[in-house]
Amino acid sequence: MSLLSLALSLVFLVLSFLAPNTLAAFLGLGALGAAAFARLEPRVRTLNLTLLTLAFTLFLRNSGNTLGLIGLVGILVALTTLPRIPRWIRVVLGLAILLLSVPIAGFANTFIFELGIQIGIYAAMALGLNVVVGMAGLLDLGYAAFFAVGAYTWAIFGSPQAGKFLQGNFPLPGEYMYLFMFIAVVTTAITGLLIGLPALRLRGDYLAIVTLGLGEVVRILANNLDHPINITNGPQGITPVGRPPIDWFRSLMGTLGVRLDETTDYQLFFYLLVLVMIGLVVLANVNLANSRFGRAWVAIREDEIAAQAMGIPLLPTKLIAFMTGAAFSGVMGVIYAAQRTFVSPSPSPSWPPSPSWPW
Amino acid sequence: MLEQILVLLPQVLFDGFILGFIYAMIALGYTMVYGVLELINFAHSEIFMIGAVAGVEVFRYLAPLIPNGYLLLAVAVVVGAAVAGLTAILVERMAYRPLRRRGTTNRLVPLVTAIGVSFFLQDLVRLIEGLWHNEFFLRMRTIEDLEGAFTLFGGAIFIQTKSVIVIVVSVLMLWGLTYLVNRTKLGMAIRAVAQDLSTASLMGINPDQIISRTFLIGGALGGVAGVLFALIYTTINPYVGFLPGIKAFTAAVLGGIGNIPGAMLGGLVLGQLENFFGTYLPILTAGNFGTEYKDVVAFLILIFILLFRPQGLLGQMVKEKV
Repeated sequence: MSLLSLALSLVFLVLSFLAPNTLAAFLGLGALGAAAFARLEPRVRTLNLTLLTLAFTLFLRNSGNTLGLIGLVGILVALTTLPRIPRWIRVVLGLAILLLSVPIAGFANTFIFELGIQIGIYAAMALGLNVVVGMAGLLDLGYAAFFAVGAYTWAIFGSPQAGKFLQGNFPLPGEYMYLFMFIAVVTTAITGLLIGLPALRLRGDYLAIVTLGLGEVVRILANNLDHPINITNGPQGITPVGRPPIDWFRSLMGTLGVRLDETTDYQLFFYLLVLVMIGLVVLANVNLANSRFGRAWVAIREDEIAAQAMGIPLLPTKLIAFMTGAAFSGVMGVIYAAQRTFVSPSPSPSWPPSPSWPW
Repeated sequence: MLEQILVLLPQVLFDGFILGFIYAMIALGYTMVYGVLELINFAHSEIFMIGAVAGVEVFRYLAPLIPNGYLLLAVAVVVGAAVAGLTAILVERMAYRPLRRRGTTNRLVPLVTAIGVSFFLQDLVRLIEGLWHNEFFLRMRTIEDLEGAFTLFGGAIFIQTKSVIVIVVSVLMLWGLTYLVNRTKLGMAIRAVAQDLSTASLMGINPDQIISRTFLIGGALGGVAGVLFALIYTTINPYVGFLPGIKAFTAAVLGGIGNIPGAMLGGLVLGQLENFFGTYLPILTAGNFGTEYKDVVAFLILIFILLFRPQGLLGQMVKEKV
């Protein structure tokens, strides 16, 4: 069994040099499945995963086939979930995939950068949602509304749009994006307060449906606030949204020996920025979980009435959870707006123009 | 301005009734499933959409074969109800029943499953329609017989033949459902399961079977609503179910969730309110806030109802035991 799965990985490694095509990718995914699900010795499994990481990286570099990215994400999942892999292997392989494999693949096929950034943004949002749903047990189906509020916060001021209803010199220069990441924390937290104040008096299913409805309200507002005052520019969306200047990043990468061109420089920058944000969000999550509030949230999730009896003020504590989650989402919204340079009420221009799920 | 409002009023009320009947029929599916399982069946909006798509397909293929428009519509309603009802049963079998068997106590799990099913059905229909006709927007074929219109009260109300059909069909369906639930054995079993599932199973009722039939009945009603929706609004797409679905749920909550007459009443009230604000908001705000904000009004109503009368218009307050 061990030999067979190792042989599969080696065959894929060879194929990634000789014939990096779709068929080879499926073979690689099969090898990954074997490495993850077959009964293997921990040592063989670790070796296998290392081999596969190398093979998928080479495969992506030689072909740029996005199926390879699925393999890399699969390895990340395997590294975090499978038992009895030494911790340092998990860390080293995980960092290698995030910091080396994905950028290498990105230079072969820039679409992989886009995917990587999108995956990272979703991951950071999911970590924010973990505060609301995971810790406090409040099922929030309107979470994307906060993402939209964050994205619009920067999009309006980072583009000529703000000049349509305010006096002043717009668009603001790109460096302001960093400032707006903090401003978005405030605006989304206020939105969270506004939505949460009525919604959080409800429980369970009712909370879910009300947040879903209010999320939809935000979408309707974004769609229609182009009159009487043009704030959001309606269904056309806002473009171009400013990006921060990254000369320092280019020269830094230059000294590290990474050659960048006009498209990959911003993509690599935003990819690394998203990774940094994920790191910060994880740090915040872990610290919150062990804080006074984190414990109160868990208590509310487990039993509201018991928590209340223990002296936890229900509404304020839930509101803080709601606002914290919203703030995480809002920051990622700013990054999203800057990276895409385009914000509109629907996720993409090809998206059905009719009502759809708001997250 | 007042004069303008009064002139429009009869038409607004009439249109509100049509919207209300469609909401009522969808809301019944939500409320019946909630009654027996305490689950918000998010996939119900997609059951409705599947009924609408089935109606469009029947009109597309059978219109040349069946010359009589009313007969064609009858066939479409039956087919829509059957397809939607069967889909609802399949969803229950494949998604909800395995979860029930495992005895998950976390309420979020079935809810998230329902959302997943909803996504799946939307994109499945999009895929099928894409492969079949390579179309995203599906247009209901117009039939001469059903296109008539007349006016009442000296032109105060403009009534399409279609609207009359919608009202007749939905009144028949709602009456039939009331009869079924209150006067038949199956209805009694459904009410028993809704009241207490485990005790009902002690009384010789097979709860799985009753739950399955509840899904069938709710799904069929949703399917009929879908066909009628497609008939009136003519253009649909695979994502059309979301807003009517969430508003029908609002209607069910408005009437008191789990309560069947409540869902009907809630649907009618919500239809009236939404149509009222949809028409009058632009007039009242001098065009600054348009018809688009009618959905906002619907959700604000939902929040107010939940805050000040959580049991709904006809529901009864249930004391929570600790």
